[in-house]
Amino acid sequence: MPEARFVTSLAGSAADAGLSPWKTTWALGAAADRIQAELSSNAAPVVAVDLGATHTRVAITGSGGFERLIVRRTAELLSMDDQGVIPGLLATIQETIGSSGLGAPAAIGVAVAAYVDPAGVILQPRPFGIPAGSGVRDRLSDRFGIPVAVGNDANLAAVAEVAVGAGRGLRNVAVITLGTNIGLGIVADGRIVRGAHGAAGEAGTLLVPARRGRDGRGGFARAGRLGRGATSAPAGYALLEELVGGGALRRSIEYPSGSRMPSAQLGTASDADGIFPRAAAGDRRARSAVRHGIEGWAMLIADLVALLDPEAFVLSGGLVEEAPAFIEPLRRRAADLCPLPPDIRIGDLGAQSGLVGAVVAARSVLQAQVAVEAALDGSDSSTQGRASGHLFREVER
Amino acid sequence: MALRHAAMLEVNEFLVLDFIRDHATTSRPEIARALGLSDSSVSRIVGRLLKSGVAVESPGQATTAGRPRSTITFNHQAGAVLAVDLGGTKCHGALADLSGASLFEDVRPTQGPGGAFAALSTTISTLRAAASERGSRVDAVAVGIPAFLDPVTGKAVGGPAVDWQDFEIVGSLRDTLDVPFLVENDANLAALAHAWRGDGRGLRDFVTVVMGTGIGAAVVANGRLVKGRHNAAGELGYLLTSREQLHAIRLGQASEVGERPGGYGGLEKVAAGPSIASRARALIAGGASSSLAGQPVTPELIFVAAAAGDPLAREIIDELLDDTALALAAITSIVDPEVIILDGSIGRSLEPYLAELSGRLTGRLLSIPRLCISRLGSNATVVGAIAAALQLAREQKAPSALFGAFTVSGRVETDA
Repeated sequence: MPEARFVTSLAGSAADAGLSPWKTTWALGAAADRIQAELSSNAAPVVAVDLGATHTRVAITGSGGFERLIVRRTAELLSMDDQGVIPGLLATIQETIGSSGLGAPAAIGVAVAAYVDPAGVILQPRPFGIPAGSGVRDRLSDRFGIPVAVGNDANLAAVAEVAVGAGRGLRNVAVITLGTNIGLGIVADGRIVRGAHGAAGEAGTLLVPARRGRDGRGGFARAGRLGRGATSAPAGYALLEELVGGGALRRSIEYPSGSRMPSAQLGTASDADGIFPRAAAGDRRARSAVRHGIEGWAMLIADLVALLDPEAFVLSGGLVEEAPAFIEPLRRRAADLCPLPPDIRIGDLGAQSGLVGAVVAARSVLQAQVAVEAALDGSDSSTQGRASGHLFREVER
Repeated sequence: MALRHAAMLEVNEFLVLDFIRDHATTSRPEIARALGLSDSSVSRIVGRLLKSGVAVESPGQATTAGRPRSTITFNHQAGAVLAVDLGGTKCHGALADLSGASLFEDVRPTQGPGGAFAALSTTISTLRAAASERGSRVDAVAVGIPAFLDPVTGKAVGGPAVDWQDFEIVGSLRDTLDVPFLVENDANLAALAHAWRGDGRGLRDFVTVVMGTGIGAAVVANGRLVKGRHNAAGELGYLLTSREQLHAIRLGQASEVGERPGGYGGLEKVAAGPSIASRARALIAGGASSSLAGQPVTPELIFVAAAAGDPLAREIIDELLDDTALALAAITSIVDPEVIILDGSIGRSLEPYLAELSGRLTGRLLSIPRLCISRLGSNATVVGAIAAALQLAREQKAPSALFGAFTVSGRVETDA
């Protein structure tokens, strides 16, 4: 088992920025204290889990907001059997609770990079150790004897930005996560849009017309100003994510020609780190990757405006964290493509948005429990959420 | 909530009337049981409702035990509503009774002397005349327009089909109407119709795509119509995922791509009726052989020719199916609806091609929505306008103590 990485007292902890996932070097700065205050509670602590493709974050909140966070590579949590990450996750949660000294938590919220139904059942297995079914919810609940809320990470990121982040006070928001892939969480009229099959917000799978490159091995698409990339789409198309997801942009720098791309690299995710610094340093390929990215993201925003007309777009994820400066050219291009210039903001929560959404989800379970108990008592339930209280019920169902 | 006594009586009367409206037939004891009111107050209230004519009583059938119980029914003829769909080419109005049944319709061209608003005014006065001939009182009016309304100013925004950029539609109607009215985007009203009596009934998540002179859509998510920041959600005509738009983006023709309200843009440029007709004309002028050559080409004729095997018409339909499939794929990736309902003159003409459309989506999406053609006839917007006008009429009768406090369950809420 690798050594746990502890980060204490997250608010304004620029000193341990090397470990802190709160990258206080960007937009979080002033917002960090406010968000920590929003998350602080005198009620019992809750555990938040963000179960992603590359990293798993486990945090516990107490009266000062996030009080303890453990970040592990998801692959390190994998067990050999068909349990996937579950045993490793149970151990990490136990460790987080134990090291925090906060005592028993009252609920657990889990943000997971998978489709999740309203009851918290994971609808598809993911290659990074997340089994389909109710396993995550039930094993955590059995082990700790407390309610567990499980939700899609992009949806919970949207919940978080609307509840306490850059979208607070708004009722119609699209939260776009630009990382290795492209994620989207939609809040319409104050509620998360899940869709009929839990698959709403799959922005990365938007089809884009494209030409096939010379190398037909794994499918290689060229889409002009949207760049190029390995594609799994039928002839004549590519998925947006395969062209302008962070992983695809990174690969387009490393392997500019599809014909020279090693087949093992086709379709595999890689970190997007470094595109913007390299572009800023004058790297020609990185600059064209940034141009392709801006074109593709602006197109996504324009399509969302046409379909949903959100009050604001909140951008989050690794790429935004890396270089918030690209927002200005993106705003300009999106204004070109839309009937009215959209309101595009940088998220307050960065890489922590899933984790904060998990806190909101965990608390929603508790609120629902209070309401149910009050109803069973026959007493008048006057439990009121905050301004964003209406989101809570949506999340935990 | 403490209500004054008078207000409480008013609330009870409204609730009793609502109960009668929602049940085909009912009786005084049934109302008293359902609403928890005393027999005597139900009798008093029902007496007043019978006297005013909004409810009618008929003698019930004798049962073996006890005396026959008289039945109470809602009088759907006690009032009427006007519903108008102001389209790009036609202005279609209907007079409906309180059950929503259409009693009289008026259809006239939108473009004429005085323009679209003149057509709208003429339709409304024709319908009012028809109502007074029947002795019906008009309770409410609903108008669907091919534009979206600015929620702050009440002005029409967009609307290339009727040339209404910044037209003061709400103010102009207020000057001519003395009954409660509402103005709503036509695609939004069509969605309300589909939720009320169409394929969206009982669904939380569905999308209506209206393809005709222009292209619009209405997104219903979580049982509510998504309206958006500027009431402009569902302006599908601006969607960029069409071949031509992507081609323009590829070539860097930004000015071709960034259309502003007031002009046809995005998907509308390739998949709306006028676009496919002009595409056919251009191909014919370029020398393509077709049965359509030598006659004025309309979208309807293209569909007829395609059905008869004309290769040029078939090619145009294929392109239309490609562009439509891309738009439906985008909708599905973003909002994951259970059903997508195609409506509008072009959308309904796609009925023979539904399997081809689904085929273009299969294998490309994680979840394929069911595709269907509107079953609400040629004008779902009128049906939706009737639904909206009935809802408005009902709300007008709501006592102030209840105003805004109730929602109509099972229906799309047109107002947030």
